[in-house]
Amino acid sequence: MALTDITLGQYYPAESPIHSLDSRTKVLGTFGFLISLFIAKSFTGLLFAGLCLLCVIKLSKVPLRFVTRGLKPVMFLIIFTLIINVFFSAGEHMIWQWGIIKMSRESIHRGGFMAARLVLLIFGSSLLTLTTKPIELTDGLENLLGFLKLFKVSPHELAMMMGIALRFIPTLLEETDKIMKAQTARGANFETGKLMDRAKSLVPLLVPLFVSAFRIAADLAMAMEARCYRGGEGRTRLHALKYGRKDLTAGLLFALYLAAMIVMRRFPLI
Amino acid sequence: MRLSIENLYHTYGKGLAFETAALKDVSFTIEEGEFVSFIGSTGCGKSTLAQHLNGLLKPDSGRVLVDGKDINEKTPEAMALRHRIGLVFQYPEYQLFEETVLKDVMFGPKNLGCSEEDALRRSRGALSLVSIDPDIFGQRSPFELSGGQKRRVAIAGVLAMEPELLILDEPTAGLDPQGHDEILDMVLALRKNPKLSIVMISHNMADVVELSDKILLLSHGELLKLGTPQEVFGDAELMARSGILPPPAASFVRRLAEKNSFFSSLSPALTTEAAAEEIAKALQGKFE
Repeated sequence: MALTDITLGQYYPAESPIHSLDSRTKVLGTFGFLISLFIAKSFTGLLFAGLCLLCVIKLSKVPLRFVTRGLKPVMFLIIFTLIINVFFSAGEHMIWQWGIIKMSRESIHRGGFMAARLVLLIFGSSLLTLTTKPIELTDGLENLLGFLKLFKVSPHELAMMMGIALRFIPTLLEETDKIMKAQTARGANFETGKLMDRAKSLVPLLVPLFVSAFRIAADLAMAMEARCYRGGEGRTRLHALKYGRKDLTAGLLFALYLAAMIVMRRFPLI
Repeated sequence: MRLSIENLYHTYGKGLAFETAALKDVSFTIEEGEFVSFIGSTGCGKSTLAQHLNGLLKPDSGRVLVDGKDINEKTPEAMALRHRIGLVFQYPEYQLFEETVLKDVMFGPKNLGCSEEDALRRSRGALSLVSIDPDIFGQRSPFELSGGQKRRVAIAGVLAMEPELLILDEPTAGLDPQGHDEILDMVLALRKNPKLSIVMISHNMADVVELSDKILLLSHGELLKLGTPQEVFGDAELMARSGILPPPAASFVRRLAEKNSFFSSLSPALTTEAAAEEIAKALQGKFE
């Protein structure tokens, strides 16, 4: 896999009801969804949450494989959770035991439940970045973090830093790819060799990468200054955030969903 | 060294939403000592093609052959073949990393397994080839040099590997006129080596006609034509189709012929030199 194929925080352009929601609605919705996963106590709850999420994914027109791709980097964590819970936690109805490794009906249930919850957590949060442009996301966060002003922290600066960091990910990946190719063309070897050799072989990659990063950052600072950027004070927006009817509908639907989750917590079916 | 490309295909982002075919069924041969320029509008696949020539990118299908042997096999011999082809990327000065100029140039030969003395000898030679005096600049930091000097040091870094085919991807991009002329003089000097084949990617048609034995014209990943500068620029229909503008000297001669009937018999010229000769010849006819 080439470096440029990495899809961290990637946006999937499409025209859908989900894409056109206000970014604050989506951030709050995602946040609420993550909390709702912890409300659920049974598989019924998670199944319901999963089905609702599937409906939202369908609505968003993002292909399912883009959402599931988010699992790749955390696959290890999920499998680890599954194994720890299934083989090392207590339960009444023992199925199988060997030393400290034991398996019971309860532990299988618990392991599956934890893993399923993790998967839904990942899907829910990747859907947010897939359907929201980074710039909208930071705008929304800036607005939602407004209360930080009370603590003398500028939400604008936080959001701007986050926006720039997100913006730099693809640039730096591209730059790394280019430098790696250029040094490979000079016979450098990044893939094989002993640990020490491999660490040393990173020098020809990291030095130019740092030089590039500083150069790009300086250019960006210059460009921002040339356009009279001087912080968030008194700035107005080209695309002002505005809640619309869609957001109201989404909010109502979400309230219904949350109510259903709470009811299911009280009356678990399985 | 003779390099042949056979039915090369390459697609970017396979299976993704932004899948694009970068190269479609490209085949050609570069003979030993030949100077070939790749031209075509931005995004037509020139750089992609160049990166296939030394195995940095692997073709989806098709072969890259050096003297009849495939360079993309997984054998040590194929690796050695790839090392005989040197690729200088766009803005190569961004790959400099060592403390001194000399150390940086020695990086390539050392990776090839040269001894310290051998690498030093090669590097001093390569620096002289690009008109950087190793005695003056050798111990300086490469980050202190001017843009044009940095670039020549980076090119020396590839030359020190003593390639038999040198690929230059837009060697003059982003340089001031003086830096541009320095690089051009360097390429002209390199061109005198009968053993060295050179591929140059360029948008500067004046440089292209000045230097090339052959021109390879790409458009949307397809090879439109491989021929001498006269064959390529003489084909008006092809030029119109590819959206490439002829070199300034050629346009000048054509416009002159249109403006004044006296010059209408001028035959097409590509370089400034040829254009001047044509006009001088025509004027001589008038005054005799």
